[in-house]
Amino acid sequence: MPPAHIELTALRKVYPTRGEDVVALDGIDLAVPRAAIHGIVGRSGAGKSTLIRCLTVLERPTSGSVAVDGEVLSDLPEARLRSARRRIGMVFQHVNLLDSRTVAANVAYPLEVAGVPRARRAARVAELLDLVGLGGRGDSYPGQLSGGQKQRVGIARALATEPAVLLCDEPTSALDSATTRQILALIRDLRDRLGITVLIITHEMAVVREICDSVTLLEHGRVVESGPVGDVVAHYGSRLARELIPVPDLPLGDQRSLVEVAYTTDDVATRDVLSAVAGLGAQVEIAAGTIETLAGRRVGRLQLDLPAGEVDAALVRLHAAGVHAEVTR
Amino acid sequence: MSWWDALLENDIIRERLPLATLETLEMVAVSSVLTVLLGLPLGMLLHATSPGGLTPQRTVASVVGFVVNVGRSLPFVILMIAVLPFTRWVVGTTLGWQAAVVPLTLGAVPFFARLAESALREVSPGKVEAARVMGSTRGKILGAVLVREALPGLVSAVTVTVVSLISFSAMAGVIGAGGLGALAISYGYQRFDTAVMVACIVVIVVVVQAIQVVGDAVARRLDHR
Repeated sequence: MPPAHIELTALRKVYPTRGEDVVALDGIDLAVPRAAIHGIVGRSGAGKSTLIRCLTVLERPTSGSVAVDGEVLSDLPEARLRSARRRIGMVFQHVNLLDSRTVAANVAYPLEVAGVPRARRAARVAELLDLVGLGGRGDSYPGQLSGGQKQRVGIARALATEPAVLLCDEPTSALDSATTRQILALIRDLRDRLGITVLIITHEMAVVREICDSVTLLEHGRVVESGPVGDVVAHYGSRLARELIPVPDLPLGDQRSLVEVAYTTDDVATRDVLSAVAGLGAQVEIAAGTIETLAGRRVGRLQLDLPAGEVDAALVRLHAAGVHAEVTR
Repeated sequence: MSWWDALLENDIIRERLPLATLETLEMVAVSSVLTVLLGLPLGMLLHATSPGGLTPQRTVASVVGFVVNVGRSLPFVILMIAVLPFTRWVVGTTLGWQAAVVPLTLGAVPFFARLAESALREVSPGKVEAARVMGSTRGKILGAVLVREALPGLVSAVTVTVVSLISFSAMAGVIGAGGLGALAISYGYQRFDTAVMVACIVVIVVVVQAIQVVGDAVARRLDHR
């Protein structure tokens, strides 16, 4: 296995407060290989924001280490850290462009900070704006752009210093779904073309479904689940699998039960699953279902509504057909 | 004889009003420049040392904040008399518009510093964080991000301060600063010459309007949100 490009080791962040200390990150281990797109999901308060602030070392971790491209950032003194941060590009939910500067001057900002001479800056800015599909808009002000265009400028700015890593903090959470798809397609395209490693923090499972190669679920500052998206969805009972391939919560009739069926087409074809279900008898209904292709794997999840008395027999027959099945209620 | 002719016939208005206007403009202009030069760094210091600022310093923030609040709570009439010895030490006299610049500046600096601080606070912390992630030094963040992004708000703060200085300058007329305030008081109030009083008020209103219009226009030009 190639060495990880982003590596977090036993990362802890504790905020001392009067009374009890708040443990925001409680021993995070994470390794993201070069040119991967890795998603970090979790509810608000799970530690996602603290994690990203520790990654850029805007917050010093209490213990543990943060390494990017083989260099341990968490130990660097502030002055060295400033130049080390140029190898990390960051994209924000609220973009955080400077309203007083034109689009071109915003993209040029990190180059100014890095001391790139003015003449070279202009050429690089033009190149970056072309890269994100905003060629010719350099003289506009951010206030004149749509939300999606602003985020494209944000991405161009993040890439200005040719970083090895792109950190995206909820990059599409303020965008509508069509724009979200465009921005995600752009990020994937940039990864393919530039070979950059991408870490996306998000609360939207759609983002993970759309572009992530691997995903980590955070809860209470700990890693609950982590792995390639294809593997995670094959762990049918896991929280991530349920959230990535969701089925709705259903009302339950008197004397009825819900059985959840999950499979991947690696193990069993959809038509065989459906015929196994059909073989359970007339009293068994498919109440809800999702079939998706994720990370090259076709996965399905069905919710069966059946008489409570038939549950045991149904489970036996489904398991015999090679299908994962469990009673949910 | 129309009212306009009556105004022009009035010797006081004809001879003293232009000079008094000039004095007012001079003392307000000089003290405005000094106020911005001293008040902006003070506002930046208040912002930078406050919790969540660039270099949070609880002690510095509370000491500077206290001094600024004391300065703001002194009524200008009292402040300008209280600083007379200081004025004499700086300017060499306590009379004339040049002397008035000292209390005017001292009165306006804390006021402007607070306005500047709140204009700086309007800049979203996200922009500062983005600049930090991009490896900016604190100096670069202060200049290129905070002050530059707050510029429309800072210009509005300057406008408000200049208008207040005009009002303070009329009070300074009471202790021998000259200007429109002195003219209005000595002729309009003490000698019951209503025409002079009205003329002074009209000039002040016109000046204030002009400053407000120009200030708003500049702020709008700078605001690209």
